[in-house]
Amino acid sequence: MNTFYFLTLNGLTMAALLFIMASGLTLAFGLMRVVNLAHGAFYLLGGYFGVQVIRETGSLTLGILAGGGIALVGGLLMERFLLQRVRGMDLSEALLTIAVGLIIADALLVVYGGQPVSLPLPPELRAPVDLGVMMYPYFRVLIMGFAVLLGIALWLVMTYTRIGAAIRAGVDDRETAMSQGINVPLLFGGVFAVASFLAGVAGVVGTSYMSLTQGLDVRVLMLSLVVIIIGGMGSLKGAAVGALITGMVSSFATGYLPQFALFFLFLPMTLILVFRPQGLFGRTA
Amino acid sequence: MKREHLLILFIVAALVAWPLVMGNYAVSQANRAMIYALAALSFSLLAGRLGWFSLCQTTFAGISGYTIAILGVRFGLPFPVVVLLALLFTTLSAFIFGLLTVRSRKVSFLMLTLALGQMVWALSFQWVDVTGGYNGIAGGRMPVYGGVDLNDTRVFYVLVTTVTVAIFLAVWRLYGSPFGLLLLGIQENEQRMRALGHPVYLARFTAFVLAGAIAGVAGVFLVYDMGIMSPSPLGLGHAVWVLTAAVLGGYRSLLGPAIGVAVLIALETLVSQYTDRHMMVIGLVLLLSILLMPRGLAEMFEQHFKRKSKPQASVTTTTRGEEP
Repeated sequence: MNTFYFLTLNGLTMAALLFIMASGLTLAFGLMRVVNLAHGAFYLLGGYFGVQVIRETGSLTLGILAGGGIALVGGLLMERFLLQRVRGMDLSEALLTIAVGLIIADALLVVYGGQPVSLPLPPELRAPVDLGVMMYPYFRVLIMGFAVLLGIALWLVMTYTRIGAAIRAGVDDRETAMSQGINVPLLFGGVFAVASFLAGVAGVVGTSYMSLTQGLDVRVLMLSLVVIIIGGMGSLKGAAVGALITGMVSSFATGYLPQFALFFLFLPMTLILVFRPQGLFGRTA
Repeated sequence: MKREHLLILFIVAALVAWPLVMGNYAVSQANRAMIYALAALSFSLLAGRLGWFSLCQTTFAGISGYTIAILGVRFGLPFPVVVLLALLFTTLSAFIFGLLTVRSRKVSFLMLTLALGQMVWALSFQWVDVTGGYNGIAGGRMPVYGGVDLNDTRVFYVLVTTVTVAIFLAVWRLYGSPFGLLLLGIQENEQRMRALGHPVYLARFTAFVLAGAIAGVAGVFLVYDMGIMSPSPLGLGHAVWVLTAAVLGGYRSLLGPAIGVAVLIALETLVSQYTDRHMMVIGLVLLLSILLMPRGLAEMFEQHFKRKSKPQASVTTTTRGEEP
């Protein structure tokens, strides 16, 4: 029974990480129909840089902000100087992000080497806490808490603020929103920046769960895509539910059927695509 | 003589001359180029005709390769049988993937094929009992018929080149056929094609399965060329490599993908003397191709020719699409 609880908690931790990774991606896609295939590379960029900052300053908070910050800068640069030049040609945009992702990932390999890097957590954060059913590392509980808070914050912003209303309008109907005087390109830059920031933050936080290695960028990208395809692209609720499903499947498959763990990860997505191509909370185009 | 006949004559002459003039290394590089040209053709059949950018064409090559490695090496089935089964399994996988992707639009198609491809990659990587995991399956060799060893670099060259040229010619015919035109029509205005009574989904689906089968042929050669089947050809890196070659060469034209593959391999060979940053080179080539020459090398030459001489029918077919 202990294994069951452990796998459930691991699944929840994974789901929390996946939500941090995928929430920004799904909003940016919903708004501009641009899927940022460099998202995994931004995760890796944030992760490596954030861990380096933590190693040098000893401050976890500073590291997380630095990791998010550098990914934000990278995202904004890509958006302003490259994506703008092919705006409106959705395939060119996607290919461009692939190219940028490749370049960033390879550059990181040069700078940080191929050795796996993990997060230097202070002992008090590594210590297990009693969750009633079993002991579980404190930091993982923190990650879950952070994801829940992030979800609530994003939901509040989306539901109750003018910016949220503008984003929702942009997601629902870009043309009409623009004709109503909403500056969608500016809005998109903002959402894109937040999305990149979250990718970077996930990179630092996630390093406590999966160490940074070569090829992790592609895995993270895949996981994020699986999450938003399941949930429905552009939907925040979808990202949360998609993250929960993917996190749980991943954890239990790794626990019970390790040879097919990665394969099973894609199974829910495939089923969704067959029976509900627009995703659980997506709208039909 | 028409220009396109001259071009074909030149290409055939070059292909015949290559093994006679060049050393073993250059011939084996040419073998690799042929295999990837097939993969890039498979990619550009979908990208150029339908505006569908697939990231799982190398996956089909991989499925084909694994079928051969597993059935040929593990179970010892004879050569012609494993090749037939490999093509059968590949086409079957393309059938299944096609059912899942046929209704998707451009960007979602890209993401779907990425995800499906990664799923097969995951299986090849983690299902160690069957695929050998990271280490792969080694030892697949072509047979010796009547004293002719098909594994010999030059004999292999003749085989690969003949098959590749034949497939390119077949696809050329396809591009000019009503079916090829229907695909272009669907890319340009799906609604209109539907209104005219054309079976849009069926046409797309057929093109997808066909492209998968072509990639399957590439996979057959790939596994014998490498002598080992491992998960790496199924990874995203290879898919992006093929995509980059097709974009660089010009995926709308017939010869574009082959030109792109040749240029990319030449570039890699050159660059590898100075640096081993392969992925960065691929990324930069892709980035620059998209920004500076979205129509690719083939069409740039085409435009150049047209300005000099009178416009003529040509091997390449262009569309008015606004995509890259």
